[in-house]
Amino acid sequence: MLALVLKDLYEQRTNILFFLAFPALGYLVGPPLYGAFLILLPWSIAIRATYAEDRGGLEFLCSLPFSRNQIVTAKFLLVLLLLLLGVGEVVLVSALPPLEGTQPVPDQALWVMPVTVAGFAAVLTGAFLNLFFRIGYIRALNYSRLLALLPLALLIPQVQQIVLKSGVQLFLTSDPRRLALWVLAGSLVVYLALLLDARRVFGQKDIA
Amino acid sequence: MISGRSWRGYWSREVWTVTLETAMETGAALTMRGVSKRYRGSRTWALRDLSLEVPRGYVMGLLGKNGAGKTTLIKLACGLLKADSGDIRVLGADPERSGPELRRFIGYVSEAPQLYNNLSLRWLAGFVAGRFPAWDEAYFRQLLRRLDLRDHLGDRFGKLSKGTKVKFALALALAHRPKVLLLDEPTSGLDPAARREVLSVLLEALRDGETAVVFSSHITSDVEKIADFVTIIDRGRVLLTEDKETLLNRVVRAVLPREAGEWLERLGEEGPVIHWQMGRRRITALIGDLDEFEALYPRALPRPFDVTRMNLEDIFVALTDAREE
Repeated sequence: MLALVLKDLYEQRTNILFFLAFPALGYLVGPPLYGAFLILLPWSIAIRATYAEDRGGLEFLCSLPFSRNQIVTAKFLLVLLLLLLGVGEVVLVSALPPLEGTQPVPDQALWVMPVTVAGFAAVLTGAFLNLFFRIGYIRALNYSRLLALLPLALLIPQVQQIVLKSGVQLFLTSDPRRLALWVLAGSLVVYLALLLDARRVFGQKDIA
Repeated sequence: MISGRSWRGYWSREVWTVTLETAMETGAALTMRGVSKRYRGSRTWALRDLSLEVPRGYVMGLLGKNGAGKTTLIKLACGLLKADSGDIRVLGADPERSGPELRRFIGYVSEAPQLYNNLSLRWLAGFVAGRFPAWDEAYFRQLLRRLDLRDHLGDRFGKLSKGTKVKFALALALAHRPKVLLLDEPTSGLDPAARREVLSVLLEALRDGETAVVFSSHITSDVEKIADFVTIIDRGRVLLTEDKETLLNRVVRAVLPREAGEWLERLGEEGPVIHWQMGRRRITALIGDLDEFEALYPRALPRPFDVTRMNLEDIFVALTDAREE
């Protein structure tokens, strides 16, 4: 299975390096870019890696001595690895002293924001991978795009009010660090469920 | 006037004789019994109640029109597809359930091999080599030299021509010395030089007589060159399975006098004539078994009649056309 993860990392090396440059840019521009980076890194790499599988890689892998479970798990493992890498980099860059003329990173943003966003990124990418193994690349990509647009719903005033009343108030009143950990734990549970479901479905699927 | 008869009765008697006997002696590498497969959303069966055997050390040439079920058959044997019903055994194991362990002994080359465009051939070879305990690095290098691939090792897979991709996929499939080699139209779309190269490497690789091969192709001359026996499938069913030489000697085209028409009508479905056509002066007949035909041919009818030997392509076209009629 490690061979499969390494294969994806090596194949996507240029794209990964490109996305890892984002936090450096965030250091100059400000924390919001970190969030975008944490979502984009695993999601985009997963999309690119599955594109290669869709083009014939999957058939090639399935004809080699790999089990279907290994193939699915390796993809989910890759995403976790990228998330870990991303969160680590964001935490590291956020801890740097602010540049002259830029806003210092709020203490809360130092790891609460990366951890919370990583949870959303894990669910988003996990859902994409699940759909990829279930219904194929194109449809998975379309559904996943819709899911990625979900945060834009916050721009709708009615949604904004509901969120402000419930989630954010809860976030502000309770201990944000503890809440972030709960969000992350919940996301990882969903991620694991998506992985297990993808394994079950892909194990029965035709590689046509 | 055009007249035709069903050949079904005749062929059904012959289908198993050659392969089953040989399989009993040597042990079958691939067995399919009553296998049916229908793709999701499709109304037609890709394979319907198909049965066949490939003995160890034999090359089966798989012929069939587009959509006959050749690729489905190969993918089922490789475990890429799940059969709706029936039993499949590769080296005695079920490819669906045995998983990675069985695939260590299988080599597979698809019609248009698509590996990873961003990875170099060197990296891909290392990746594949790590999966097969029996990988023979010296043999792999020999294959690269033989297939003119050494200069491409640093190239990315996506930059290669179709011929080079096929040759590289073939080298990967052969280097771990598989017991079963599944080749899905590996020579289609290749230029004549590349085709010849691929075939000669295959023939060399199969000299040891250990590997069972399923070689599917539209190019009947390739099948004629490489196969020990031939299986023709049509609309998901086996039309014929027979030793190549026997088939080429047995199936002939004969030109008969018009007087033979009445006798041919009487001969019925169980006779050795697969199909016949009445012309103005003569009858053209596709004979399934020349020896049997000569033995049955009435003495009262004019002799001799003209017999033309057919190549595999002629036989394939004649048989599939006869079935359609």
